[in-house]
Amino acid sequence: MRSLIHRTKGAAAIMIACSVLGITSAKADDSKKAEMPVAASQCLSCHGTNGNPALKDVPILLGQQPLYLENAIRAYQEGRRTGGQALVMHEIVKDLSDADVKAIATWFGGTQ
Amino acid sequence: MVTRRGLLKGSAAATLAAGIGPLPWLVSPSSAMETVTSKSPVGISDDLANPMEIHSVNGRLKADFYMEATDYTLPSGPTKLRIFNASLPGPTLRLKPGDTLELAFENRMPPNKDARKPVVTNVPNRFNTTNVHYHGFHVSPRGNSDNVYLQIEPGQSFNYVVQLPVDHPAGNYWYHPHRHGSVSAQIASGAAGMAIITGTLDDVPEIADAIERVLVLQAPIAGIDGLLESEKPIWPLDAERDFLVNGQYRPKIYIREGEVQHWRILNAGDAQFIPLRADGLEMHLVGLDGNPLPMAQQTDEFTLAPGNRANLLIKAPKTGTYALKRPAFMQGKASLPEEHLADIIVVAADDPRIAPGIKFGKEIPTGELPKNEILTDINADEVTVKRKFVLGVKDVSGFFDNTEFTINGRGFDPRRDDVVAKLGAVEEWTLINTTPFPHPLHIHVNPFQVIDINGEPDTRKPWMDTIAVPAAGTVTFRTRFVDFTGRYVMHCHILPHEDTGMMINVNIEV
Ligand SMILES: [Cu+2]
Repeated sequence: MRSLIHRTKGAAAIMIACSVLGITSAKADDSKKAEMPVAASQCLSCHGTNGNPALKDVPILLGQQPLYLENAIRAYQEGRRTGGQALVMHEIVKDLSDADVKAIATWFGGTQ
Repeated sequence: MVTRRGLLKGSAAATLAAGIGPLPWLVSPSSAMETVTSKSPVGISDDLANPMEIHSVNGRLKADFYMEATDYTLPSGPTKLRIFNASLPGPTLRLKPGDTLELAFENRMPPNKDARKPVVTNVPNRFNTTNVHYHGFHVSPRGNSDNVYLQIEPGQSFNYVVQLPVDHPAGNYWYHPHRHGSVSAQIASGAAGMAIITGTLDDVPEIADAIERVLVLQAPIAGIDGLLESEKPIWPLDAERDFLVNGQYRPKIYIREGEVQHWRILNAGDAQFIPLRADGLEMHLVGLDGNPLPMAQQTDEFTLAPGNRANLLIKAPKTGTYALKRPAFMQGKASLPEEHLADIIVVAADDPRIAPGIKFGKEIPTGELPKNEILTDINADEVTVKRKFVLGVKDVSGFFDNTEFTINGRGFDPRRDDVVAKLGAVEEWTLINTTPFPHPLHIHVNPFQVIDINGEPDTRKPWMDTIAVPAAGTVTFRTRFVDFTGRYVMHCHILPHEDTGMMINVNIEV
């Protein structure tokens, strides 16, 4: 039996912890996407390990245009998307570097 | 497969093992309280009884309270629970605005097994150390009032004196222990009771005509061998739980055909949300937490997060047997199963088992409901300060499950003032949840007016004291810091989250 705790454990879950502590967890998903950028691990707990969300009101990232994703992340970072869940995204992406943003956008956009 | 749980569930297990005996209406010698026996409001023997009540008399409610490890038979078998006055749930306190509540409280629990180990803040500890919180009360957080920083050790006594203001909002409140580190263990054990402050909705004629029920929903956890000594069984959000209504497993609730009953419902659980349905019956919400909604609102389903209360008018159009259910639902990423909470039995309007003199409400109020007068809308131009709070979680090795829950990146620290505000300030707080699970945030002493959820305005602008911040979502509320200075807390009412760090101190200064 699967026991689901208050937070998802394992690769998909380290998420916020990583960003807060600056811990790197390069082996976040060792099964198939070895090249996943470290910064993407924090996306997985809501957007799902395969880019298909675990929560109903969270968008699918899998297969989106990388440029669209990059623009979206920058809009959240800079507070151009605001209110409601955009505030959540702002908190999550605010400290990402340019390179992180590009890597995340490319990885989710390029993953099919 | 036959489990111990399965075996015991059907039979005698559902009934009370301990509790208050069938006392008649009693007036204590000091005349500072009256007690009302636990009984069915319709007078049918197998109908769900309201919990025993203690009422104030002449402005005072003075009662003896204790928390004790009490023998109790849950559907899963006999165990020991940490509960108030040997009663699951605890007695309902019924007060009026302006009353003084005096509880002579005694911690009768055994010594803590971990008494010699140092306390690590945000790691569950010392399950037999306790205190009492008056949830939703607008009262002083200091001294021997609603002071959650108290540590009442096994064998110690403490006299609470809680003075309600004369303009205290009327409604449904509750009491439960609040000593950081043992809150989840004690509430998961069943330590809780309703506290009703009368007035406002009670004076609406249609509601005054209706039979009143108190429904305290709990899902107590047994220890492996008696008293619960570990956080482990409380921790899994999707753990299988047996939900009890007023301490009973799947009780029967009787309603007459055409009748409207007034149910005061409390989610006194430690972790799981309770969406509620009663298909085939009409449900009309008239109040949330302590306070009336603008008008009665018919609904098929509404959700009580841990800590929330509702005033529900439930109407039975036709005879038959119906179910009070929690449907299967997702609590964030956790999938929780359907729970059958009670059978609702709708009998003929002239059922001979119900005495003719018993109240028989039939109407739902139409038009505006009265307001609790001091809770006037807070408009944007009244706001003096805005703050934001980010709800999160982090890995801390050595902590319980290596987990610390955080607000603005930090776990609870009893020595730190996270918010310092001036008495009289009017503030707008935005709660931002970065986790894939909802967190019901509760703030002590002052209620708040909900402005929006995930950026969507709540047009009812309800006054509440506990609000679920959706998974990966936000809530904005406004609040006035009035009447009381002192230090108190805001925290998650998923109590394993509170005990593991999701709490801040709010210090209100002159
Ligand atoms: Cu929480």
